[in-house]
Amino acid sequence: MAVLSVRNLQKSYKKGFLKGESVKVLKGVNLEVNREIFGFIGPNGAGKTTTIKAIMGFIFPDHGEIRVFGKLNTDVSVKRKVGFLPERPYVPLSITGKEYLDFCADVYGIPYYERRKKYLKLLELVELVGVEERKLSSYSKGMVQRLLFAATLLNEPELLILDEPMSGLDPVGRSIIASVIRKLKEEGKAVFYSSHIIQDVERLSDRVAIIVGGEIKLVDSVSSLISKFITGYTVVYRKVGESSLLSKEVNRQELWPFLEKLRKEGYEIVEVEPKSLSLEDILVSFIKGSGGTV
Amino acid sequence: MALFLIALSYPVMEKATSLKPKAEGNSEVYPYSYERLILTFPTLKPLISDLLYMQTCYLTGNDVFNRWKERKFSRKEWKTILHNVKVMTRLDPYYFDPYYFVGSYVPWKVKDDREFLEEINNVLKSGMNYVEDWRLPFFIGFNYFYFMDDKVKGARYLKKAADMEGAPYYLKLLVPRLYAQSGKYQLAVIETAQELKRAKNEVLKKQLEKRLKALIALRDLNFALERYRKVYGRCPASLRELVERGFISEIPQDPYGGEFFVDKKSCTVWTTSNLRPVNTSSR
Amino acid sequence: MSFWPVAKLTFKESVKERFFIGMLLVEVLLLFLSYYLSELAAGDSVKVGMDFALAFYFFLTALFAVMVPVSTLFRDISDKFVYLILSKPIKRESYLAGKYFGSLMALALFLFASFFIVSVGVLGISHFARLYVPHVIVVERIFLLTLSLFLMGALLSAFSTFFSILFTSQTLATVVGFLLFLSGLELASVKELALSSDYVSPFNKLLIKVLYYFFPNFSLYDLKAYAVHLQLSVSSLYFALIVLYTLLYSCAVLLISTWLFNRREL
Repeated sequence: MAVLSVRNLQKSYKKGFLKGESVKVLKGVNLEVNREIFGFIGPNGAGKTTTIKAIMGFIFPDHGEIRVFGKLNTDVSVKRKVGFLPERPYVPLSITGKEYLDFCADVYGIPYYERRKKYLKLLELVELVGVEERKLSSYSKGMVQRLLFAATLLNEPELLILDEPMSGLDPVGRSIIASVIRKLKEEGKAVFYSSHIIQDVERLSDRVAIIVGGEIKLVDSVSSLISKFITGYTVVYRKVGESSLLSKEVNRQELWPFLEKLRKEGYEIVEVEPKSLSLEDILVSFIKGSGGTV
Repeated sequence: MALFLIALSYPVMEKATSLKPKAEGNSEVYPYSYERLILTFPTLKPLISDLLYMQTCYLTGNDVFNRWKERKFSRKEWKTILHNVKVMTRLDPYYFDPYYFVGSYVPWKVKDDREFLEEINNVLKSGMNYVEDWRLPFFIGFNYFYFMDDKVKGARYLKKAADMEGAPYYLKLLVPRLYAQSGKYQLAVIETAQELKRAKNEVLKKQLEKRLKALIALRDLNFALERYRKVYGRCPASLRELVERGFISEIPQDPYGGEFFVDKKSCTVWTTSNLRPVNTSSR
Repeated sequence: MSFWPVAKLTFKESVKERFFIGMLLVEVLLLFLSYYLSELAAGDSVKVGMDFALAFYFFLTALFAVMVPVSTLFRDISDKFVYLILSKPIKRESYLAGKYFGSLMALALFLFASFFIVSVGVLGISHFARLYVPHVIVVERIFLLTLSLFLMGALLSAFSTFFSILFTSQTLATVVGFLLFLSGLELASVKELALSSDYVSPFNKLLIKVLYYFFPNFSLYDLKAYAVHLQLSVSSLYFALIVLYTLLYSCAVLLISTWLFNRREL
């Protein structure tokens, strides 16, 4: 059973007041997320946030079915196993970090004697120990985001849904989030997140979906995607017996003939590095292919 | 620098103010409409009543900073003021001050206008349903008695006032006097006897006893006179006649030091003392 | 109760706002103003001072009751805090109920503080006023007025919650809320005048009657005159009835708000 399954999700918004045209933002999105790190990328306005809002039940789709752990997403009990962080999350600034954590703990029904321990563990995870008694207005934006991320894990969710979790964070913050996400995957949890920062997605995700113009253009594992888009190779070689290394760039077709040539001419192959389009290049080509702008 | 500019602007403002064309202060008496007021200021009826009263006082000349400057209003303006008082008391019938104003101050300004005075009394009468204060019926009674010469009604209201808490003790003495002058001696006797029963003050008791004695004498004399009239069909020439014909045994002494006599015009018995101590200052 | 965490959070949030302390300060200032205004009155200046003070108290409470639910709901929705809340296992109904009760708790605290402030203020006015016959002040009556104001605030907050869901502009919700309050005050007077007037057509009279029963009647909560004039009395039946009225009407409005909120896209 898939942790998260989205089938034929369609959503349009009305443009004018009452009557008037409507614009179709999601044209039939299909996704399945298992216990993995699943990245969701696309240009602005492609429908990433809309999809996530629909999954969380904030907006109501025209068509389609969304299931989480087999149950419909409208079932409130489903949220017990789900953690969510929106894009640019906001919390009332007049309360302290601890008060927010207490609020979350109240909702999840975590008993008081367990709270201190849990908070400490989570705060350590995001490197925010000691600031929880201060008002959120005194936190930097990155600190707020890290605190909220920690709070998301309070109920030990099986599925984590994150909309742009790294946006607004400095490199330290980003690496903290990334390491936590990896840890969660090791624990067998599922992470579904959207991001603009393709390099992070490339490094972090197991699988990736590319959405452009409200349609999923591609769903595949990162490794197979990259291997599909190999443009050429960098061959590092040396003459047998010699120590100096030489390298040459060849395109895909030229590889095997070149390797044959090297073997014949008495060279040994040290390394064959595939040169691939980065995920970013792949995405851009998709976008341009659909006639959209980056 | 900023402070200097502000300081500079001050004399400029002063000069301008002195040159400003002075508008005449608006002291027009404006008739307010109850309906408009309650619609403009919902749930603020008592407050509007207060403001209206303050404005009326201000117009009339009750200057808060102690320089009484009375304004001379025309009859029409007084009518408007009375209308406003009616609005005030309709807005907040429990507010005492408008009643006091209209009862104590206004009648003196319109004393010859019976209709006006009657209207004032009506306002005070409806006020009595809400405000428990001896001064309301007192003003009504006083207006009837003093300005309108209606002693019957005057006495009735004065009695009401005299019975209320806070009324001065001399009021109780005044009431029987009014009754006596109109001839309702029996009432006056009963009245005084009742007051005597309830009076705790020794001075008051003595005064009431004296009055009661006088009233009883007047009552008896007037009854005798009435009996004489029934028998003989005319007014007796003097009290001697009543004694001679056997209607009374003797002419009683006026405890106030005066003399009882027959008032030929109204054919009633009265006393020269007017129920006030003779040869000593009254009250 | 599942709405309790949201209520607690809303309460904490509202009370820590500068608005809360600001309103209390304004109240103190207005009490001083009432005293100075009362000095202008010849005669029973304590009555005048009380009329002003209680009128300010009444309207300040209404302002509070309108603004707090509106501001907290709009802040949540426009700043996307709702997403964080609704991503947890909280039903939308519970969220709305929590916001409402949290606002009510803030209102209760405001009234609790105000009661002391206003009582002290009014006693001060009576102390400093120079009257021949002292105007007796019964603090218990001011307390009853405060209770009545709480009920008024409860009903008004229910409406402002509704307007927050209905409208997408915070200013509009606030203004409409306050206008509703003013209309609710006017109702009784309008009905009294219109039904007794010969100039009003029967159709209009019927219309006014319908509006009167349909609109919330906020003048029911006006116990100011009772607090000022000791001759007046309020029967406990009356009070019980206005409690019931508040309960019924507030629940109705909240149910409609919930229905609307369940259909709203965030």
